[in-house]
Amino acid sequence: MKRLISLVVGILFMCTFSSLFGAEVTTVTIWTPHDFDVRYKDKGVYETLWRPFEEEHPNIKIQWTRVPDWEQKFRIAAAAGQLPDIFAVDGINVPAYATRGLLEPLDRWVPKEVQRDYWRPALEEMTWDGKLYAVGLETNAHLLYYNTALFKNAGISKPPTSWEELVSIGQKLTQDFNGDGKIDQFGLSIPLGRNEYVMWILSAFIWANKGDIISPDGTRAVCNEPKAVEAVQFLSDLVNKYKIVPKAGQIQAGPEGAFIGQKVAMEYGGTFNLGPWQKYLKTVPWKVTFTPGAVKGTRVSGVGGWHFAMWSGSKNKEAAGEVIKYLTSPYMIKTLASSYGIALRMSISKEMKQDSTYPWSVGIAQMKVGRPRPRHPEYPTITDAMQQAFDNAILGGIPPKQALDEAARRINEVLKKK
Amino acid sequence: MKMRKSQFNLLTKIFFYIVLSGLSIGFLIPFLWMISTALKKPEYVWVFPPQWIPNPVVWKNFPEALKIMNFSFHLRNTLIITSLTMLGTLLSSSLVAYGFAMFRFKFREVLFMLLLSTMMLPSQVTIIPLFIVFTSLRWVNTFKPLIIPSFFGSPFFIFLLRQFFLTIPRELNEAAIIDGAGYFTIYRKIILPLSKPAIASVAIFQFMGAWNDFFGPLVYLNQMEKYPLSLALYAFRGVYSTDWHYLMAASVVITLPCLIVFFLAQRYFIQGITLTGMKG
Amino acid sequence: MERKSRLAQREAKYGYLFISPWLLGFLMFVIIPIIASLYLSFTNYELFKPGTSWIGFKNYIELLTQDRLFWLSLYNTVYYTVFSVPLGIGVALILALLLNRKLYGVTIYRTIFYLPSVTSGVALSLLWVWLFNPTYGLINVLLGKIGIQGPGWISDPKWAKPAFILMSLWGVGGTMVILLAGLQGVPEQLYEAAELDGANWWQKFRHVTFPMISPVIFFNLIMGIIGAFQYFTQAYVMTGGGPVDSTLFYVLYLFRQGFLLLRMGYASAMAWLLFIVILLLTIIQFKLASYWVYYEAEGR
Repeated sequence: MKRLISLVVGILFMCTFSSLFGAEVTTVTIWTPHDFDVRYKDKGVYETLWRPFEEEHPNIKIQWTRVPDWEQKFRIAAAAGQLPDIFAVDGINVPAYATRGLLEPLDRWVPKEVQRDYWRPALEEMTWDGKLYAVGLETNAHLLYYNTALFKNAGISKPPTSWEELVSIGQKLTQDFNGDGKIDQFGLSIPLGRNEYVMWILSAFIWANKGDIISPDGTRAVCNEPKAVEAVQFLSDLVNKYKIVPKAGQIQAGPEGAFIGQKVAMEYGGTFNLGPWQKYLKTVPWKVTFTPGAVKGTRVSGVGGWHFAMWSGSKNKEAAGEVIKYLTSPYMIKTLASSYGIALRMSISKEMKQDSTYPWSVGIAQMKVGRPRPRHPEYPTITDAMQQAFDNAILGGIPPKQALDEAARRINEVLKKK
Repeated sequence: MKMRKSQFNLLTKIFFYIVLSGLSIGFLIPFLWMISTALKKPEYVWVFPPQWIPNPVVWKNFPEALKIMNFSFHLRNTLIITSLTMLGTLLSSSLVAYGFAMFRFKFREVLFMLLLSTMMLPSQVTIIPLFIVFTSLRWVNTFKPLIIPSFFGSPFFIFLLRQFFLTIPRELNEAAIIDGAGYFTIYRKIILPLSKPAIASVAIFQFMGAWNDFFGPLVYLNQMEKYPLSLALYAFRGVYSTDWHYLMAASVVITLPCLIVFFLAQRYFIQGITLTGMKG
Repeated sequence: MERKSRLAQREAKYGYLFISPWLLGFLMFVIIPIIASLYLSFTNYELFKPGTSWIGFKNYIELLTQDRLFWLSLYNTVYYTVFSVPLGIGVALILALLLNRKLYGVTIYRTIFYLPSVTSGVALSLLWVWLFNPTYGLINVLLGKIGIQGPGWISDPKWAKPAFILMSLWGVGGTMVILLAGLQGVPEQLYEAAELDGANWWQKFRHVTFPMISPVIFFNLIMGIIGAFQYFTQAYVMTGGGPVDSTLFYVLYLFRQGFLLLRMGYASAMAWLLFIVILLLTIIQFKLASYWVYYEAEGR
């Protein structure tokens, strides 16, 4: 009798317990190129980013992986249908991936009020065709970095606020100190070469001159119209006519070279440098300001960044949706901002007083006049054609109109196909 | 006569040393810069004029870099992949090379050209179908796609060893066959001992290739715990900034085992093999 | 007579047996991707887009008749190959000859020259970008110290390819090691015999060394061509093909078409055209080899 009772009790015990433990645990996989493990090495990635979520959701585990060479790995995995539940995506690729059915719409997990709280240019990158396809990871605006020590040496007190001033100040700062015929210090540095960073910075010059790359309705290329041609001519002049920009390009990995080496007095860059470049302040007293518009008093900035998206082929959409919700939470926005700069939601940014703390305030002001690169499923061709045009016009000695005509031809070809 | 000869030898020796040392410096400069960068504080990496001797010298960069990238953890993965692929390659490639070099059979030339032609198609277009093959085998996110194919021969090494085996006189083979030796015995007792420098070269190259292999692990591994050192190194390459001093420090440390292996393998590069003992 | 054919049969059987590992591996891992990529080259396959259809030779025709960059990238690649392969083998041969002796410290020198081949790609590629910087990079700074105005290297369309060729020379350590191994296999008696005949060092090289290591030189030539035609990683990391497409090598352009512009079918066609070029060159080299490559085993 005793044995029977203990058997029954044992079975009841196990049943109760298994209903607690037997609940299914779903693992949500996340891939990013971002080095969370390094950025959050003090407390550890898990402690900082994922534990708060897992505590709220005991049935969901998060498995995050950092991917070293994103371009290749992502495309191979995607082509073979082997993507994680959530992955990072460069904002410029959202239209291309969304139209090709790679991304899951996220509207059902992110209410409209939350969406509207994101900075407008960042939100533009996160949406396509009226639907939300990504939630922000980090976003960046343009900044003009300048070396106050070199400015002082040349007797200049204020950074440029127009293209005219950019040239005149740049010329004063381009100097051959020892008279050996070689320029020892250049006035300005802009990215040159063949990569997306070049496109990000230089396309803003076209906008600064009130030109554009494709028409607002996305049906035709306008990059060879007069305002755009003028802008590219200006870029070419900076290098070839006024000679205030050195020809050696910056590499994608980081623009540390010339500006941090103090061989260049001004440099176009992004808010993503504000954190990493703090350590250089001792040797290079830099400050930031707005990127000048063509005409004094006008301003425009490029905006770009990476965001989290959900794979349309995910087998754990509900669980992944919960993670997406978490990624829009004030806690995550703040934590990511502590590493990457601008807080993606305006309310959080205000809370963190970013708009009143230098140098973030400059970045925030730039966000307010910021715009993303052209939104179109054929962006890969658009950026390739534009990079080619910049390269040919600035370094290749080809007249800007001709280079941009060629780009317009290529762009129109793919715009027609859609 | 003797005196002139030894003077000549001394002069040639000095000449050699000068030439070699001059070239060495040229070859070493990028490394010296790497080591120099590895010992700098981050804000001094890009200073101009370039600082050769770091000031201050930050030895701390090395242990810090290794800790951040979790060196000892990922070292294990690299060791597993490297040792198993070395085993697989040495075994299979030498056997296949022996087959191509020492045997006459129909289609031999065609098959050999086929072997070579597999190296002529850029991997960028075969990687996606290959990835799908491995996906259907359920080998993705394991070491299998990296290790198992090495047991089936690698065209590069097969070609290399075949060339070396063809420098061995045929008479040796034929004599052994007449004596009744099996093909495998010939392989073991004649071919291999005469090919020590070649085998050592294959070992060196395979070690180095597997140790530094980036693309294979990148494509097939999805979890950070499985990353070998070549992928873990990317901890220092963020999306927007790179920790150069740590990257260089870690790269230096990762290179060391390859150098040690090369150094040790040198004793198989003995000069001048005599064949006199091989008759009969 | 009968015994000979049985021997020959046995030899053939064992020949196939010994090469069977490769044959098996080929059938399992290699043949499917090859056939798949060939098939894709005749389609309009685009990454992530459903609806791939057969378009026949359209990709090939577009490449050969409408794609300026196809011809430019082919030119860039041939340029690179023509210089880097012979120069590389030449330099490696000189180094191997210098180091094939019992000089004190020869192991250290060999290690130094091999060092570049051993380092992991990325850190070094980025280092070279810095080294090549026309104004602040080490190379021009050193050239300046001996009074030479250094060129723009990878920022100058005229000097970008030479810059990559220079970089490739820096990496001849691997070729050197293979040649060293080849030199090790030259029997000492041959040198002794030549010396008895009164040969000087050039004659020794021409009549003993070179023929004996010709199979190994041949290997380096073929592998050099195959490798140089597929040159990719350094250009991808360092220049992205610029400036002005001067470093747009063939496989880099292929990568751009297939992975960045997502036109995988087109890229596959590019791959197969490259394959044909390399295969033809290789076959020609094999035919020419009978004039200068000496195989002891075949007793010629």
